Amino acid sequence: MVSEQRDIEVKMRRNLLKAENWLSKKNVLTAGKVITIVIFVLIVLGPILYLLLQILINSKEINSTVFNDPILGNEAFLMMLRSIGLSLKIAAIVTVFDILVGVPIAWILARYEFRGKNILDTLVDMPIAVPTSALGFSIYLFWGTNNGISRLFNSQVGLVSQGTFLIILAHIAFTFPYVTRSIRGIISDLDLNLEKAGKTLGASPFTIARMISLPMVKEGLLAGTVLAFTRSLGETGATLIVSGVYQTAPVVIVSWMKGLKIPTTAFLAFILILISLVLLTTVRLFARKVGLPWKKVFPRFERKLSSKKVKRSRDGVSLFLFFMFVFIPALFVIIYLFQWWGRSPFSGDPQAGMIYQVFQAPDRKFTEIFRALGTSIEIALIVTLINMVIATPMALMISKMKNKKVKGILDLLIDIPLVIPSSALGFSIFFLWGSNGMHILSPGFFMIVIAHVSFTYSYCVRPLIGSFDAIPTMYDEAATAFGASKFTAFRKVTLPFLKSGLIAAAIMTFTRSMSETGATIITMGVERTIPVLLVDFFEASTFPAAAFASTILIIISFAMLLLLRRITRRAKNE
Amino acid sequence: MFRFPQRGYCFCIGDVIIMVRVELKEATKYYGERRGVEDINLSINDGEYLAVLGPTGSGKTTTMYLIAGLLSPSKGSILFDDEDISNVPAEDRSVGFVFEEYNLFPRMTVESNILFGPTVKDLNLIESRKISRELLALLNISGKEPNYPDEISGGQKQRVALARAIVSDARILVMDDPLRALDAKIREILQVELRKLVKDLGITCIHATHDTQEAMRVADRIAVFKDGMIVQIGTPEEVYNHPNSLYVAEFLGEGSTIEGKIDDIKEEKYLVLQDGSRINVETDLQKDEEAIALIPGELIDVYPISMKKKLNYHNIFEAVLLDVRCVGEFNELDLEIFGSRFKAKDLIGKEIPLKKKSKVLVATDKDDYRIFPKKEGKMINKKKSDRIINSNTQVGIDGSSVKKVKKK
Repeated sequence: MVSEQRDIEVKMRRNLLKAENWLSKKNVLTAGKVITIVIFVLIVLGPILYLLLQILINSKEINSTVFNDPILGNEAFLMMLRSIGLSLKIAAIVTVFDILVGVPIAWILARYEFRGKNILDTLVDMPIAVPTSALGFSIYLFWGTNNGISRLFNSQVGLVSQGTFLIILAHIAFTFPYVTRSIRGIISDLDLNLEKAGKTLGASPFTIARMISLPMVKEGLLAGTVLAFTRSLGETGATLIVSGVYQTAPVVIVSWMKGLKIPTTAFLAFILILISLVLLTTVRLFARKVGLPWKKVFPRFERKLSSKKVKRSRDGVSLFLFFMFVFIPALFVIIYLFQWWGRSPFSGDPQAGMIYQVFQAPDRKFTEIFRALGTSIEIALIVTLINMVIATPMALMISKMKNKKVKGILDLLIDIPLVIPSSALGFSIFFLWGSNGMHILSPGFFMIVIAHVSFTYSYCVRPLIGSFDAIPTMYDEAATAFGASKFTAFRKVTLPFLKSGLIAAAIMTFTRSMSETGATIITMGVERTIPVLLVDFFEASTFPAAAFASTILIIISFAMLLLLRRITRRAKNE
Repeated sequence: MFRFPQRGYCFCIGDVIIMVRVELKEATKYYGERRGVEDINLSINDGEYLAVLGPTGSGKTTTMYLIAGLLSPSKGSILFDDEDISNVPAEDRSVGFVFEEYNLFPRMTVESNILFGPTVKDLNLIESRKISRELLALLNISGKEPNYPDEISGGQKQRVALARAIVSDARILVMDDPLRALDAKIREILQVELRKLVKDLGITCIHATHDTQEAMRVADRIAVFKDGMIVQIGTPEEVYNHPNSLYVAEFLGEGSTIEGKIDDIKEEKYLVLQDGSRINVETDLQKDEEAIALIPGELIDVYPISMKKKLNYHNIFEAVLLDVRCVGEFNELDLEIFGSRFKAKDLIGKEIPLKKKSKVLVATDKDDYRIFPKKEGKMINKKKSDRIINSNTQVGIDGSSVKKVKKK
């Protein structure tokens, strides 16, 4: 019996090695590479390219609906311009604020040692993980209703009404971590000796930061800024909640899509994608070449800026702004939930309380919530699985690529889903796969999956490239020198190194998929994921139920974030 | 506020530009519990070139940082020209600092690196550019101005770092093991260049190094550090010929040690070894005191056995040659005398039988031996080292014993 089992095992192992040998053949490997690229093109680039193509082919129709509608004239185009203008304005303001607060906080996190630093670090990252619709809802509750900040002033109405200002507040909350994250690591890796050298040459701390440190974090800062800007430009979930009558471009896409105005939606999506792509490529191409303005130094003024007083107040103000505008508003929904737990805090009516609304009311909201939650998790799991399979070979390919030009181009292409508005991406997927294009899918579960795979692709590939780059090639080479086929070497040598990187990428993909609103609304059909359900609840003004759903989402994403930090930290320690 | 008058530069050789007297008074620095330096009393004269010599972790870098203001002392004070500057931040001290790792700013060209100091101090840039050109010419790296630091060699980088430190209106030059990362050959060239430049500029200079030869080559005076304290200060000749402790002796010259008791016959002192052999030595130790003698390898003269009658030395012993290794300019010899191993250095080409296991003559003079009391062991505490300093100064005053006289 035992020997038979062993025989089977040996046979299986031999077959596996054989299979891996076959897979390692040159033409098979090439085929694998081609397949990887084809999948990438099909899922990520395809929809965008198809959209561009259709716009060009159907320019007549576009022209007639957008510019020369028989009834509206060019009203649609004007509205587009207005919404894009508003979006750009908001994104610009938000980005400036992000830099002003994000850079000092990154500095604090990288340079200072204090108790609770780890906690602050996690808190700063949190808005990235929390679904924007939950974030937006929480911020609306804090600023825009009489439950939040206005309680301090005993006011009966919210301090900030829905509109541009509230959109800005909401966008700051979830874009700000992109700036902090992108430079924090770079700052802590900076060589302190350079700063010492600057000091002995007579430069005050502010001058040193500006002339020596800043040029070295420049690229990271630019990358973070672009990310923050494009995220603000393309955000849907939170904006739907806080915008009121003001419509940013992604919100317009969603509402036109709901009205099935396909040609105008396509054109707007096209413009948004174009703006994001132009931004991404210019920054990529010129990030290194951009010189910093003001080469001139003003020793006295900069010395004043370096004084302890200024420094301390700057740190204090940054932290205050962070807590006031990001942290407290972002988590206010939890407080709100407790306020409204059993009954309304104003009228004392138990029927307005969360318990009744969610669990006891005849419309049985909790079944809706849990079904949506189930759908969200199901989608996120499938998306993660698919992305693991298609992103790993891509990451490996980019990491090992020797041709620098091709590598640069692929590297740039990978980032596209990161910067283009997810509603525009969702729309192009609907356009390509749905009835207008290949007619394979109709809006629903699988189209959501495809859309999510598409925009989480970069979130998966990026960290994996990092992990592959960090693995020394010598092990791989040693294994092949001992006669292992390339595939066997990968499985036995590279993969164990990659474990934590893979898990980190998986968690990132999972959370992003869980929290997406814009792309989901466009591709969902009758399905509901939980962030979308939240928007529905909000629109139906059932706030306690929305707060309940938000809190669940926040808890899940917070748990995910903690898990992620734990794994990445352990990987670093090893 | 601490301000210095702006001053003009002129790099004519011998033209004295500025001189600052640097003084450390009981300067002490603790990193938490760990001692960086303790009770450093050091005074560096105007235009003097001082080398701070010691192994890694002996407090050299701490001392340099204290002078430059990159660290502030836990206790004690630092004075420039009798002005206490202990609390003046580094950026206001006008100390030109040269680091071991160059620390050139990677995103700036050589020229912007050099002009960084003048830029941030708002000095006259046209003037500074002229000075930088002259300096680069002096340092043989003209034409490298538009290059970036990663495009030039290590030696060139350190030259740029030196120029950068000087152009930034430095009153004092502080160098923390500036040549450590360089190849032996470039190191030697730069040692000579450094000394010449510093002396030409007449700038006060403090140069930390772990390399004895480097310290002896560049400095007017050497301060030997151990465990965060100064063990001895003196000219290179003084510290080499009259080390005040076994530690300094061992650090400055590779040698062999022997232990014994002092004996005293007719004004002559002898070291009596365990096997009864007697070595004529010069020491202040009294009869019957336990002593350790150190003799640097290069002071042992080795002759063929046939020369016995012709030699005029205080001590002549027979020895067995155990091993011979050629290391370039000289041969390293392993000898066995009195049953213990000795190391000697001998010039190549000198006519001695360099056969292993052969017998040779070992000739030494009485002042070749550095005698230290045995109870001192390897540690020196303050009081004893004071006593030794005193005894050594006496020897120093006596001119004949400072100068080595070889009788051949």
